[in-house]
Amino acid sequence: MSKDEVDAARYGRSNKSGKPVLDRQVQVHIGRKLKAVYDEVAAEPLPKEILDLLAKLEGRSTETE
Amino acid sequence: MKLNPQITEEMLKSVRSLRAFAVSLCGRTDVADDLVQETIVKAWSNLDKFEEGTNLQAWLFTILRNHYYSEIRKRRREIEDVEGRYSATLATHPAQYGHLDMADFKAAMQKLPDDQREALILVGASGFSYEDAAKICGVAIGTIKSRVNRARTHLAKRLNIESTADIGPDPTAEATFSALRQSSSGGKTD
Repeated sequence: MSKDEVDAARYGRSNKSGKPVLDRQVQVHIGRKLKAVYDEVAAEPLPKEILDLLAKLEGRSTETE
Repeated sequence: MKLNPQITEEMLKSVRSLRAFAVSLCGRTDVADDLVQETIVKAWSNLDKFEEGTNLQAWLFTILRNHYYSEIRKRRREIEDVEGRYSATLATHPAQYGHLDMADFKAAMQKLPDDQREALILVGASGFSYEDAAKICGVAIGTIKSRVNRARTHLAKRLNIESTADIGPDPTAEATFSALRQSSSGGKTD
């Protein structure tokens, strides 16, 4: 058995191209973890340097309008 | 330069997601924060090149990604050779949901090949369509799809998730997810 076939057998069915397709539930599980890790960072307050930079640029753009 | 206030506001809204993308690309918040700042400056000075009506967030992500690969990663590699790889990966980030499985997941993410990791994040976390993700990475849609599939398979292997039975209930992730979904559906980011 090739490595791909072993993977397909262990981690899910094969699709037409012979690549392993993960169980739908496993995909959902990974998707949730991924989102949780990402959103943890996205929910943080922005660091001061970034806020300062944005304020500076925003100030500049309103001045010129 | 005369800026369309709508564009300015949209750009401000994108910054948090842009930062989360940067952290997941380079695995370090300090490097990510520099990267975000450099991206903002670049975008701001090139706003006249942005085509109104196209996806501003995708444009920002493209700038950040290209800058990361052309500049930052080179620099990082030099640093990492000295410090040792993965010595300061996402672990430098305060683990709000300090479960071991979350740490495992982050470590597994960092071990994915760069092209697979970014495809998975763009589609699975940043919420881009396959089409936008393909544009951001400068590849065909089919390439993105196959990278996302390979990334998932790699993660499942590393995390030893072989079947649904291995997953078990995950109330924290579920609660976090739905809470975040609710708060973001309000349209306010802070």
